[in-house]
Amino acid sequence: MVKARRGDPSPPSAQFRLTVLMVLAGCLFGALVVRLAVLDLVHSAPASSAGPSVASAGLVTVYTPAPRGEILDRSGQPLVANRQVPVLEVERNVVTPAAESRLAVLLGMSLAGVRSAVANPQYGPLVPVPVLTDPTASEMLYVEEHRSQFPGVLATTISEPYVTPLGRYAGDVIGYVGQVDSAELASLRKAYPSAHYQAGDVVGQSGIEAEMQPYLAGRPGVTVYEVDPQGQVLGVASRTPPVPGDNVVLTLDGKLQQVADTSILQGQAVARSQPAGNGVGHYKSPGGSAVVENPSNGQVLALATEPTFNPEWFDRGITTAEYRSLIDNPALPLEDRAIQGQYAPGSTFKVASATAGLHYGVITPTSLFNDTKGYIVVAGHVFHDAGGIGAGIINVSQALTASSDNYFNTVGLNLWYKRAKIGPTALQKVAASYGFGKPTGIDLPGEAAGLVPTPAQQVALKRAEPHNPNALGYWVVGDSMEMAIGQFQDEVTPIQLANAYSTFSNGGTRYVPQLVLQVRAPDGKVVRRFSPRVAGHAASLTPAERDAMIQGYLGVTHNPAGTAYPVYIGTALDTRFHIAGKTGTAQVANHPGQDTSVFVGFAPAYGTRYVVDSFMEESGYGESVAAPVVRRIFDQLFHQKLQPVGFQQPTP
Amino acid sequence: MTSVLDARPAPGAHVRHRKPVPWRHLDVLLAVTVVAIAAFGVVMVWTATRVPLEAAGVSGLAIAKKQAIFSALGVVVMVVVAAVDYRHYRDWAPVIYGGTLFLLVAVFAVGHRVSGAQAWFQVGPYQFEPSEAAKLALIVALAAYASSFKGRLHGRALLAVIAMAAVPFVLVYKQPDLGSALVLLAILAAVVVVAGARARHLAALGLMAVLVMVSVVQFGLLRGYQEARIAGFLHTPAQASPALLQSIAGANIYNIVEAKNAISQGGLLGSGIGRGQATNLSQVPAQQTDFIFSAVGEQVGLVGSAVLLALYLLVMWRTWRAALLSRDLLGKLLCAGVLGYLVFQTFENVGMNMGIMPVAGIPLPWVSYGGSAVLVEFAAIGLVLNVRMHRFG
Repeated sequence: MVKARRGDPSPPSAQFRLTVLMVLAGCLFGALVVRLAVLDLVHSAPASSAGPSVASAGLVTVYTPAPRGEILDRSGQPLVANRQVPVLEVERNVVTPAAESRLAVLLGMSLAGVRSAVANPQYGPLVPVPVLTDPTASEMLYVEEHRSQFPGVLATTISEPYVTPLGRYAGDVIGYVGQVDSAELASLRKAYPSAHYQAGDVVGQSGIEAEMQPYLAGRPGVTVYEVDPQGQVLGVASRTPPVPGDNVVLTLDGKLQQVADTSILQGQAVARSQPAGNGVGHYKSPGGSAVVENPSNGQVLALATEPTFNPEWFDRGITTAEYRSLIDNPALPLEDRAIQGQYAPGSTFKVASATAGLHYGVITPTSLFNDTKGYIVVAGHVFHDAGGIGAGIINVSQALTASSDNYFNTVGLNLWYKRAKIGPTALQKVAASYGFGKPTGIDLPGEAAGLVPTPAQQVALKRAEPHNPNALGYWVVGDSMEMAIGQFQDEVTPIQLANAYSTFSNGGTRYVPQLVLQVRAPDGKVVRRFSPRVAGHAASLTPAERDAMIQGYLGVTHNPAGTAYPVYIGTALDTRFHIAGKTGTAQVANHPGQDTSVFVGFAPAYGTRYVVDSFMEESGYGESVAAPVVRRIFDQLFHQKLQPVGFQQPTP
Repeated sequence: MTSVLDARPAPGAHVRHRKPVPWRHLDVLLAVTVVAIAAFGVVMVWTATRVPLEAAGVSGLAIAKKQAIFSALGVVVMVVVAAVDYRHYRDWAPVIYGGTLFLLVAVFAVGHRVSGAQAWFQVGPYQFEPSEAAKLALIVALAAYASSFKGRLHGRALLAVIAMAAVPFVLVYKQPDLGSALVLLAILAAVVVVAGARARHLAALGLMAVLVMVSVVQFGLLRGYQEARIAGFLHTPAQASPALLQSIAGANIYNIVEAKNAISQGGLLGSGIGRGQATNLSQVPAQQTDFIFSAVGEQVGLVGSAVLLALYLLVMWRTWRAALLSRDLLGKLLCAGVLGYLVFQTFENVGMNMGIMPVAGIPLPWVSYGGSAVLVEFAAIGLVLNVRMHRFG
């Protein structure tokens, strides 16, 4: 042994004592392995196991919000997507005062500021409280690197939805989210008892966000802690991770939606540059809308409205100033004009009048009408054509092409005169068969019903407003005549009109306009597919009758007598895609010289693939603004070069 | 000075006989094992930090890279510490001990002025923790001093050795860094046992330690969070203020609950590296430092964790072998101190991750993120390699 040579020999017991130490170390490691095995193999649902167990006095449930589902267009492009936002969170029951003051120094906040952020009463006792959203990378890195100095401070990320640039064009369709109020909470809890809705949850308030709330919400994570009487956590009784919300795929085409929206904006701009119809000032064009529908299945490809709003304002918590700017704006940016705007349809209503006339036999495809005077006189009243001059001797096709009011006034007149045989509401019935007068059932909340006036309503109106000089209390022949040209009390919404022309163009099947294509799980698996639903059928027409109407609509864009002829003639839409359509110019009470400009087009005229309409408020004749807006949308649909929307001077 | 003379070949002597070549006796297995543990640690630090880092727009490797650099530096330190014959350290022991005390006092003074509880010096972008260095310094100082009693550590000699450890213990404890202070006690215990303290003295000291623990908890000598950690572990609600109970609920049980959860989610084989749900969601606070073992448990499961523990045991075994082979008591005591240091740190750290030990801020050797700790841990192995290498002269 070496010890004999050295001045500091080991005691004889040193080897033995070292071995005792080593055996002790081995025992400690053995204990660790046993403990590890117990944790991994026995405790699949870990219970309290730290030290002697104490009977738990209760359970505390903590909910972890699930990431909200995304909203995608039909090709899967996100309109509302989630992004991971870095956030510094504080666990109130872990954080120390020293950590709070370090955090204040790091973030350049006052200690009081940090404390009040931590004390945010919106968060429950065991829920981490976000103190700073979107800290800088160096702040995150500092906290991550020095976690021991920041007990209870978590540098983590939260999933935050944001509206993509493409989604901005669909603000009203997407809708917005907000904190659930107590009434909503009660009804959501009742409807979805297993979804664990909590006060403070963010839920959809309008648009698809509201309509598809149950799918988008996902399910929060639930952790149940066992606690003793002092609220001390003893262990986890159960833990369910959050289930992210499903993604909603819309029928919308994001790019088309963008074109529709920008076309409306261009239409508004050009309308405002033009003198109003009565020569007083300019057109005001406060708002407009456009709808694109696939008539073969009711799928809505675009649903645009202006003015609109940025849903992100609501998603991140709207400021009072922003809210006031929305509420106080006379142009009503929160109104989704495409489904909530109710307008006199003007001549576009003639689809119902022509169908009713043909269906009930007051006209035939070939019967002629003498419209050379430009006015008719009925019961002492003179009914002028909007154009002021006669269209000559015309059939139904030519009447639609030239939008002869005299012709359709007469159809209304004759339907009324024939009421003993066909009933007093023949025109109303046909209008209803095209879906006018009640909500279409599109999968969005808050859709307006429109209005188809009836004799019964006249009675009701008089009762409600006895001093209204326009409320006669009974139906007169003039009402039928005005209604037939879309100028009486008729009101339609843009989605109703698009759906009515879809119904006409597909041969009479009225679909429920469909906005949600499918629901997909976050991994892309389709959870639910929505198929077309038939809402009803239009009043029947013979092929010859239908053909006569189509010829009339084709003439609108193709015939020099057509009201929208200058807008479309010679374009590919006319020569290759056979666009047909109808203008509408609806006078608006209290807004003299500020007519609603309406156009509805469908292409191709036979075997129609798309129906597009546009309502431009206080913008002039149908052909002036709405027809160019619709043309630009068709350009996109048929992959043509996008022409800027210009103002089309009406042809005399 | 005898050792220096021994290392010099006698005039005219045959080199092969008279001059030993220490590197020939390098314990390659020990060195490789430690490097392997450190490499695994870098991967674990990466998994425990990458998700929030990437979310913050920083490279997910940012922290793991630093850890890798520190580990590489640690290997260099290990080689340097091993190269100089350990018998020189006995001569430098007073300087090492005194210098460490100075640093501990200095950081205590400076730390107070900055923000209350700082236990480190800022060196450029890095922090240097004297309490980590104190562990190594105490091993050297105790071994040097205790070996001079030739294996009979009786009476005043024992008291002197205890007093020698008590000074840095108090300074570190006052920082406050209870965990590191307890490590110093473990070192003291291991050295005292091997240095030849009487069995009855050891029994008395053990009893005293238990009494001190109990009275400390009972009479509130601990700082709030320390008390919370221990009281929370022991579940002693008596006489605790509501604020204390609040911090009990979090400071300690919350960490334990989350760490245990992560470990038990690992099951037999683990979720796979980078696929741990609790790890990726940062559910375990301080996971890359004190609670790194929960990331290990979740991702490599029972089998992987047991392999890691086996590697640690291998390190302990080689340290023990080096102590047995050492030709003098100084070498044995150096190894014993390192053994006490590493066994206690590993057991306490892994134990608190699994809820069988109270939470104390102690890193898992070579795996937990932290520059000072990794350097000191490598240096300690350098000491062990040194003792074994120089056992023939």
